[in-house]
This record gives sequence, C-alpha cells and structure tokens, in this order.
Amino acid sequence: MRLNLNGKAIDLEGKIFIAQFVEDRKLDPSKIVVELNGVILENTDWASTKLREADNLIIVSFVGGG
Amino acid sequence: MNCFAKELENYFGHANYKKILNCRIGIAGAGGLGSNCACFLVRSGFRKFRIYDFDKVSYSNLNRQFYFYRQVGSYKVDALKKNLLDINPALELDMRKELLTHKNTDSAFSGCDIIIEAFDKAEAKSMLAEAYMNSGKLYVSASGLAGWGNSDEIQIRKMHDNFYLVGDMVSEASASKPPFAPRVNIASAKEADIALTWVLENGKIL
Repeated sequence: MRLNLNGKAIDLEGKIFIAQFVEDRKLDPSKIVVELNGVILENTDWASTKLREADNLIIVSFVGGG
Repeated sequence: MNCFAKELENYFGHANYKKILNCRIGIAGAGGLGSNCACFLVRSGFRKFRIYDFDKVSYSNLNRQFYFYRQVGSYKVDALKKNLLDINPALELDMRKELLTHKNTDSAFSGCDIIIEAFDKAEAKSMLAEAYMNSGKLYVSASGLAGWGNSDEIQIRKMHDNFYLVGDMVSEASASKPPFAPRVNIASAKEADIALTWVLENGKIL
C-alpha cells in the first residue's frame, strides 16, 4: 500500500500498526510526535492504530539543544 | 507611547504596528532559544509575552543565552524580564517560574496567539508539539542547532498549517557537541522572524 509520510509517498507491505512502524524505523517514542490524517495520536494509541492506503502520516522527530 | 514605540510605528506603519501590539506571544523556555528569541521579538515591537522557565542563570549559559555575568544565580525569568525591559520599558511580561509537564502544558498558553518552543530536551519539544502543533495557534519549534558550521542547513520547514520547525533536524546537543551562540541565534532569529511574518502577512510565511 502507498501512503504519505511527511509529504512523501512511501510503500509498505502488509498490515502495519503505528507502534511497529515507529519501532522499525528505530525512532525514540519519547522524542517524536505522530499525526495521522490531521489528528495527533497519543503514544497509547499507536499499538492499536493500523496504517491504511492513502493515509497522511506526519512524524516529527526532535533532537535536544536550545 | 514611548520614543522607541514611535520609531517602531514609523518602521511598520500604524496598521501593521497595531497588529504586533495586539499579539500575545508564549515562549516555552528562556535558555538559548527562548531568551534570544524574546529579545528579537521585543526589538521587533512585540509587547505582550508569557514566558516559562524554572531554571537559574549559570556561567555555562553565557556562551549563547541573553544574560550577563552579573546575572549568574538569578532566575532566568527574572533576569530576562530586566533585560527585555531595558530594551523597551513598556512591555506586558507574564514571567512564570514553572516547569511545564504533561499536567500543565495544555492550559499553559491560554490567551496566547503564538507559541515559541524553546526547550532544551527533545522529550519536552515532543510534549509541547503534541499539545500545540494542531491547536490553531501559530506553533514554532526548533530541532537541530548544536555545534558550529554549515549554518545554511538551519532551515525552516512547514510541517503543518500553523506549525513550523526550524533547525537542521540532526545536530543534537551533547558533551562533545555543545550549542554555541551563532547557530543558536540563527535558529532563534528564524523562530522570531516566522512569528513576525505570520503577524504581518496574515498567516502566510512560506
């Protein structure tokens, strides 16, 4: 299936939940924000939210310093 | 209207200056990003601020933060208040010595039109983004500004309607790569310019 990640098209195979997607990409859950189709998803919803065709996924990953 | 305000009105024109005067800006953190960004915004005419920081000024801050040697040991919000009022005595400053956590973040910036994220820790940046990146307010955050060099990599990304992210996205602060004044100021100046542009151009930035 094809979906948008941060405005760019990506292809994924099979059923993937957000929690798995985050883990596969080796992202630190405490340092990212996930928005799916315009709705910000709390960390507790990642394991039960499945990615679907044409989803618009935004993942913002932060690094420290200020 | 003080003499500086008259000059600001000359620069902007009456209608634009009024927009700036009416805007309330919230800043989360008064360290390298927050103290400098506040300075740039005050110089740009903004008058109303709510600024959060629970920390005190230390000698290690003087390499990049808008504080002075004599202010080491003072609370940052107290020292910053004085420094900002030294630029323009007619400010409305709501300085809060509070740590923002999951418990108080949602209500921390009620009444503010613009929120500037100026935290140090990535986890705190993420927490604030979760609360405000989709709030309808202008939300400006920063990520990736440590070290020196390649400063053209510190870019502005539009992540979302009303959500802009400044930085190179990768330069994390650490013991081997501390933050320094030039890159921190570039990032904080870009945060300030986004706020200024948003107000003057009615929400159009990029």
